[in-house]
Amino acid sequence: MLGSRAVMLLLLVLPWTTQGRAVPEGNSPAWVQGQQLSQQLCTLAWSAHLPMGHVDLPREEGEDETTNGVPHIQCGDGCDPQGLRDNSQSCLQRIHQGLVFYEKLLGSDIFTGEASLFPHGPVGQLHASLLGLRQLLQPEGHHWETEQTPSPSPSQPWQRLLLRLKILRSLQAFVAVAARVFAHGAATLSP
Amino acid sequence: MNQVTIQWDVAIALYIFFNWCHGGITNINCSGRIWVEPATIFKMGMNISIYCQAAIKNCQPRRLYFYKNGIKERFQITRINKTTARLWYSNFLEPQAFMYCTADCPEYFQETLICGKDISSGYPPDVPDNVTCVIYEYSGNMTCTWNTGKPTYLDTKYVVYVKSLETEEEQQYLTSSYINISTDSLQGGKKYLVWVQVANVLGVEKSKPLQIHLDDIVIPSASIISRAEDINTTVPKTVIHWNSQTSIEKVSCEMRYKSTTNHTWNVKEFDTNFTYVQQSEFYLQPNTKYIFQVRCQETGKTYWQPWSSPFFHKTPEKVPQVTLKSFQHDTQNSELLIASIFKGRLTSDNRQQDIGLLSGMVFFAIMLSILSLIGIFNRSLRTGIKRRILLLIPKWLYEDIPNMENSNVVKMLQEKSEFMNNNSSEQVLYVDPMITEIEIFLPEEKPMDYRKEKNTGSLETRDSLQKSLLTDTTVVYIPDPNTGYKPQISNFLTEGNHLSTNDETALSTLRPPADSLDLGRNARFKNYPNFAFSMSSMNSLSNTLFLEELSLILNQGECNPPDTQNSVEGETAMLLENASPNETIPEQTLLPDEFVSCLGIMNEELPTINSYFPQNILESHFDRISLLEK
Repeated sequence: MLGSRAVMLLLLVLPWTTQGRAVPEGNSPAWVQGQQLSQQLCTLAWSAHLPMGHVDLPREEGEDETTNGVPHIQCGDGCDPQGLRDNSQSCLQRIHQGLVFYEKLLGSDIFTGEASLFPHGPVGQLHASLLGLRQLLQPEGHHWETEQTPSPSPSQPWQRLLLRLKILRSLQAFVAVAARVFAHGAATLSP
Repeated sequence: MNQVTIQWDVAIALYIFFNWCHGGITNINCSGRIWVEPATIFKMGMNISIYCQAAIKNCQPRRLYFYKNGIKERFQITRINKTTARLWYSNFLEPQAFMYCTADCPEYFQETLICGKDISSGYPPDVPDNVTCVIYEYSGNMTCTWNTGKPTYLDTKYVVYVKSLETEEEQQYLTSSYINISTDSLQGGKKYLVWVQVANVLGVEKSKPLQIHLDDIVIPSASIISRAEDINTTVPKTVIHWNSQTSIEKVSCEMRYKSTTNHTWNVKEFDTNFTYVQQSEFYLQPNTKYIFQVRCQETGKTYWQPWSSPFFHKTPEKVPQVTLKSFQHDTQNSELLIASIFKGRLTSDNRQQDIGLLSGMVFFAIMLSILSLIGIFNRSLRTGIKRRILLLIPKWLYEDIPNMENSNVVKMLQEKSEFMNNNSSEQVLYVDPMITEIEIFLPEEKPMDYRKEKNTGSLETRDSLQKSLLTDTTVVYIPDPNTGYKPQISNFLTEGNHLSTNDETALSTLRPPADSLDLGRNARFKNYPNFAFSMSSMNSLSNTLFLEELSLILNQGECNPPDTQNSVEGETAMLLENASPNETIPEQTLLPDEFVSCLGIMNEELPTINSYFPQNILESHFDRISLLEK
């Protein structure tokens, strides 16, 4: 758990340099558009959390973030400036994988169980925005190799309340890193 | 044994795999338990207790907390022992609540989750009543409905029992509200017994049994109002056309109608045979919006169709018919009867009304003729009437020769004549106007002919007369070339102008009267010769004024220095004195060329098409002007 936090902090605090060459043009992602969408995702992830702001998420005994199966952006994913310069594809694939994971969770009964959250609520907007960024990273005809993400098992209403908090908190951290990656890409790697 | 161990290992591996795949992010780990007394589902309004027992490793909870719907509960919490606490609620009225409890462990800043529970409260079901089973014609189903009573707030299921009275066979159908039972499944004859049993966590109830005969519960196919027709007879009536696809021969129907502003329905009943489209006649108030609905049942049976969807119709406005006024008034009043129910055919009602009207008119005519005959043949009666009339009316009414000295009009005229004789200087005011000769023009006569005539003696005579009467003004008679008649239209122009613009006057006669407004001899037209506006519209004057303003605006800017402006004004004044529309001023442009070219486009179109006005060019010029000023 501490390890993953350290990795995330490292990514956030790293002074990203701006020198380097762009990704080959044929594979060049739309960094600027990705930057806008990821920033929008950040905002929406926080605003979706606000309606549940009065709930304090308790810790769970035996919970370890390193083994909870949530996709994390780690050092080996090449999301650091050097890795992005050399080959941004592995980092983008990792981000794509995370987006698929959260997209599925946002569409599950954990969030759809309460009618008030969808479709016009902040979670609905978050879901749509997440879908937009995922489609940007995976244009038609191009398929990333993604892990199979099974649907979560049906949950009880009292569990859903806490699960939403857990998922949104995790998503906030994920999109914060993704937004930094796209911001760096837009500033240095965009053709 | 070995196989069991292997299977167990596989199960554990799969669990670990899926747990890894799902991630803890979609699971909640409990560290203890929570339970509700008397139950997690209970009757609304009861007092309940919720217990929470912690089982956290290496933690002696300092406190235990309860949360309901994510909000921490602060009252009615009792610590029972080191690991257990109780939350008490009295008169719990919420249908659903999400509960969980946490522990405050000394080793952790965050509270540690113990576990949670969903609780529900509600009511046991009421006894289902008013059980109804019907067969909608052509549906192939028997539909059974019932009143469920008050809401239970809980998951409640209904079981419909159908028992044949002939074969004793019993069938059950599970549902959450109503049920459609296929008639094909009802093979146990025509007579059945139907009842409904309802159950939820808090109770079970059963309805009274309903005995049915399948032939008695058929509802005819839906009736539809297709159209309305207004017939303007002596008494205007509205015919409603309606129909049903039913194959049942004997059908009783009801049609209700009301004006949309009214709250009470008028109902008419019919015994109907739907071989043909039904036509029902109504005598309605004119210019009123009505709503019609129809429903039917098999004659003598219990169940009606639901009312058809509303059909709206607005009656036409009333045509004034003086002779039938009172009759119509009575008809209108009859429509205001509240919920009056009529039996029988409407056509017979209408016939009776017509006969009554006809007989009344015949009676009135006979009476009138009898009275006239009496008056004609009875001389003494006639003389008496005449004497009485002479006594009543004033004397002057039957005087053969009126006395002139009594006339007020003659007196007044005499007074006036004396007054006029005393003021001889004003006599000229009462001189009769000169009668001018009337000239008749043939339609095919060309205006040039008229111009020639004007230049001969008749013009001279007219000029001299006009000079004597109007000093320095001239009356011009403009003939209408279309009719050949010469109307007297006066144009007050200066004498000089009239004389100098004889040709234009002649030309103006060729134009329609509206053209006389275009100021064909107006000097302002000369001021903007290159614009060549089409002057056939009444807007030409306003356009002229507008262009004058435009000229002034642009003169203030870059286009014309002040001295040029003065010269233009001077020129305009000069032109006002002596103008000719045929004169042009070559190269005289107060506006930039691009503006003029745009106006040239306008020349091809009517000046009323303002959308083509080059606003952008104006704006750019204004911008340039403002920039230069700066």
